Amino acid sequence: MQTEVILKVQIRFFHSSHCAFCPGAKRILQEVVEEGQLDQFVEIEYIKIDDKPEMAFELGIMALPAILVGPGGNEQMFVGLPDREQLKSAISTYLFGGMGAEA
Amino acid sequence: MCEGGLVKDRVYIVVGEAGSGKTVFGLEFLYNGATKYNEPGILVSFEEEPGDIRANAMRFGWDLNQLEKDKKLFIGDLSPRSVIGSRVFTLDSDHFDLSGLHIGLEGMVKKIGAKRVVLDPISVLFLQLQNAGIIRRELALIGARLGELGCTTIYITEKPAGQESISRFGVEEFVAHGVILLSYKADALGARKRYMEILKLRGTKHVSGRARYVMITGKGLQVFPSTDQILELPEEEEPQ
Repeated sequence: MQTEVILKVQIRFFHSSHCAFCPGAKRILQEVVEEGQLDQFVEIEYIKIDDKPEMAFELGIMALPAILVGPGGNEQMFVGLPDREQLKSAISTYLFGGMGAEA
Repeated sequence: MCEGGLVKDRVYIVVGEAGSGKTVFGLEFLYNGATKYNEPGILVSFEEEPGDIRANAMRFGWDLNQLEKDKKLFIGDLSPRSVIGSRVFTLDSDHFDLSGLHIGLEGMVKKIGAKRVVLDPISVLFLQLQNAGIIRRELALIGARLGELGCTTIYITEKPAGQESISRFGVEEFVAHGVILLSYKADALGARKRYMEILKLRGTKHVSGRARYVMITGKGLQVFPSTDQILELPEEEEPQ
């Protein structure tokens, strides 16, 4: 029996209820994934900082919106509204560079 | 230097040149609060790593490790190593806020019942996130919220050597109720001496002009205002 290994790129989206630009950044992220038909290749975790106040100090997340693409310790970090091409390129780097997590 | 210290629940700026003792000022404020007044504190470090801060504090006899174990002190590491580290960092400097810091601070204030907060140095925020307008607005909001929560807050920042402007970005002093200037200047013989000057302090009278101070192991900052300066302060009222 052949085992299929799919690599998924881990994406963490940090937002808060007070953050005016977070909905816009979320929309850009979702559109980049949809337009690139990357749904099956990415794993997006939406993390609301309001519920985890220690997060700012544990992960160095003080400015929002913040998107971390890639595995912990080796991420690309986007603060503010991400540029679509840069975001796509970051995902591609991990996807085609084989740096994603096994699903 | 003033009528019994800083007014509670307000925001102050401590500004100074490199080597003037800004961080020691902030640490002493927190250490004294925790050990003498039962007021837990929070230090957010944007530059030095916590290990170095603890080691430097120990030189003054301040055991921060113990305070942290006793929940009298929390040190938040937002140094470049923590925030950026090995990450590839991409910033849109026009569309962000500091709600991560805001929520993190509020959460920790509630968790340990903090009454004193020090952010050291805020100038790193301006360099890292670039948009002075957003950072000023966010610092004003954070200071106001900390005041509502019953915290006295100190923002530490750097003064560029040789410039007239009080702080590097020329604006931080507008978000504060008081500004304390620390300087480290050479005298006629070239010996460097430290001076403290209160430039602004709303709600309390203070001495005018600069006063010498030294940093002493086991004691922290010791300030020596002149007799003339002390006489400018109001006399204590006789008991009825």
